Amino acid sequence: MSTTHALLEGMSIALSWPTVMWLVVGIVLGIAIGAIPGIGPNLGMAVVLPLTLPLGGTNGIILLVGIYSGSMYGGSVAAILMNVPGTAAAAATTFDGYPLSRQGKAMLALSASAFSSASAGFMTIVALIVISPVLITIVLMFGSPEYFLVAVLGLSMITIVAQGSIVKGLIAGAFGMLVSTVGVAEMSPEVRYSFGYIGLYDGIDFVAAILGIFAVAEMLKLASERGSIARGTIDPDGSPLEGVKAAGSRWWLLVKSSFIGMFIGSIPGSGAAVSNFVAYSEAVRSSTTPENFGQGELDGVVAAESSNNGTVGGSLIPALSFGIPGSGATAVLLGGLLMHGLNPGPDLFTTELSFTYAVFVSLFLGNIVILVVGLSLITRMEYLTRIDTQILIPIVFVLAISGAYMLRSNWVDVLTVAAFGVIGYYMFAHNFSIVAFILGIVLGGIAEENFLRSLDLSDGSPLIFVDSWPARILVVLTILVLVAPVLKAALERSRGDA
Amino acid sequence: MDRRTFLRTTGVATAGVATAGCLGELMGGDEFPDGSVEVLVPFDEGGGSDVIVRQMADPLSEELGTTIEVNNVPGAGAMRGIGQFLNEDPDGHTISKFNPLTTSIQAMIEPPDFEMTDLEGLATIGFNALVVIGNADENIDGLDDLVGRYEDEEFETIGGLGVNYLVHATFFQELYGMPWDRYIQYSGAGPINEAIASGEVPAAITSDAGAASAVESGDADVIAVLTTQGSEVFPDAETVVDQGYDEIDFVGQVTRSMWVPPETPDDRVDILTEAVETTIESDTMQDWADESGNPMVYDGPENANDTLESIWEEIPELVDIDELRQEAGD
Repeated sequence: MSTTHALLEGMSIALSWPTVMWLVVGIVLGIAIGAIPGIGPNLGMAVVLPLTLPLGGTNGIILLVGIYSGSMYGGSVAAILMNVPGTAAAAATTFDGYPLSRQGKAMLALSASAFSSASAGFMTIVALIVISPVLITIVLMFGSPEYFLVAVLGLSMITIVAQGSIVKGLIAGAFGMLVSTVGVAEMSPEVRYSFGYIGLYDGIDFVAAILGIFAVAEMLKLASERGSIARGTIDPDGSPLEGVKAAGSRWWLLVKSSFIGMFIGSIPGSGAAVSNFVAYSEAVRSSTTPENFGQGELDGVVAAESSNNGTVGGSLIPALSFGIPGSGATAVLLGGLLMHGLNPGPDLFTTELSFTYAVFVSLFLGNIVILVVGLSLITRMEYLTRIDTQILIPIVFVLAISGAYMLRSNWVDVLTVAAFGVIGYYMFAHNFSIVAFILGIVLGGIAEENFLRSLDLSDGSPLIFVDSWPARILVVLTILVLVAPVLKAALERSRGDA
Repeated sequence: MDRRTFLRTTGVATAGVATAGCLGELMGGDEFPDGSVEVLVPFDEGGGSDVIVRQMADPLSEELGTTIEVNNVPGAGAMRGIGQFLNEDPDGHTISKFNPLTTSIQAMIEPPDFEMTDLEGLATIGFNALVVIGNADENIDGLDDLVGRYEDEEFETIGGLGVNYLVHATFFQELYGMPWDRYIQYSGAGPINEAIASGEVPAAITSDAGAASAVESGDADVIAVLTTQGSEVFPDAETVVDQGYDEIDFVGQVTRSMWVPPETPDDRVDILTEAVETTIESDTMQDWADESGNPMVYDGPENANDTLESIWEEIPELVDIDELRQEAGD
């Protein structure tokens, strides 16, 4: 079957009834699931999984990817309105989305988020369709050494995002990496820092840590205030179109962040939890006014929200081509494929290509639903920022605690939320970079696993890290990220002297 | 905010959950099952065990006349979930599903504070053969050729799932004289397929279902099936015994098994076993088995118990567990 023929067949499947209906149901359900902290796409998709059986393979999988895509956008809602990232993918959205809400500009942030999410979805899905004929070749260029180097590149971003003291940024990043070492080691059966407690064998869940560090820490701060979240005057005539215009005018940032999301999503293990921070870091790095970030800079919302929806397309690359789950959500999606008798593997890009295209086209169309729901309904939720904190704080506490327990039915996660709530409160108070900490906790394990495996493969020789072209490019990029600020400062000094 | 408001609002939010729990307790009766039956899955949502259990939930619920709740308790290589399961009330309202092979190897390498052998079988519902696969470009011609290439040091590494298949790789060394130098751990069948396709490792041990897509696409070849029962996924592939090597059936297949906590009354086990048998043999499950390539075959509790027993008897006899632990840590 030719690629064009498969694409046309995929389009006709995606546009047929009731497939379109299941897509809309999936996206709307995903937005709701993403908006509720702690539930997230993994749990939401797992609950829906057996219900997809009567729908058949194509409709079932389209429903599941709809939930996945919708939840990426939905996660931004509570992140913007209450500083509670609905999913880990929306954690960086809080940095500027929530300050905008505090300034009474929640509608601007929410509509910019909807537009960024949908646009990122459109672009990356088109890119995915275009590269699908060579996708397997691209995937095979990345092995353990390259995955390690991608993790190192992500960690090197700490030097960019650690505004203020670089030492504090490095300490926060190292603390994150240290936390990632708790539990059974990545490549050996050793148990680290569990104190004999089996609940700690799988380590500290970074989603629970994120819930604590953002939601609980912010509620602790709010507890000392009276009134509502919105401190600025809310414009009752504000239009969602303002956010669309504002995000649209940042088109280059939007394109760049979307593809950062897609690239990181294609690296197994990282997913949107990492991409939103890396895109945010890049937005800070390339901005002419980096000091505005964290104070309600719309660039921050656009970068984070376009990257996490861009990640959806990227994460489907390893998932569909080799059955490698890039994240918890894609693991459940793979379960769905198996349940429907569809074997993830190169066949999905050859004999089963029309099915794969049907999924891609559905995701593309799903972004229209995100845009419509986001602009027409979700922007109305700015009302939440006007609720008295006396009502809001207990609600957020209950959501954060119950959400944490639902992650793995593990009380350690509940304690993690509480502990990181306090830690986060003091990290904010003393200007320790939260982004650096999150990069450390998420990338630490990926870096460790692939570093050790690479050295196993090379029998201890570090030359494996410069053995292939992708590896060399990643090494150069990392060096550039590390020395660019120093070079830039030196250049500016020499210009000043001249 | 004041403390009173905080407590009042938090109380309202949690009261609903508490009430729902109490109602469940009050709705009991004398019949078994007199409430919902929980299937504890010690793995994440979306994994092989989870998919099968969720698939079984509806027909099993009809058979037992009660709700089936799937509870995922992942962690510590399934040890967290199994540990919790062994402490559940042995009243037949909690059952579990996991394979005894990889979980037992996990427990041998990192001993938990409970005995896996305390488990009581409920049923076995099928099996997946383990296979050794090789990169198709290497044109590996059977097990003899593979052993020869390791002897010639053309190949040095062999891949497998975590520490679980290190046991098999060790058997290859001890019983088949295959002198691989380094065992490379991967986190699942997908990463193994990618590593084989890209040539990161020349050969790997994996499950037949896991290897299916890589073999179908021509990236990998099946070199041998590790159980004499053969593979339903690769019916034409030769077993290790076919190729003149020793039988290693007790580790050559992953037997999908269901369990009850120790001391569950026999009459309740009988009711559950019968329901599982009818469920597995139902058209719904058999159609799904054909469609998904997951053969579902029922066998009784004794099969689960025998499989578990032979794993715990034979592996420590053939492999020095301390050495295995050492190798896994290297």
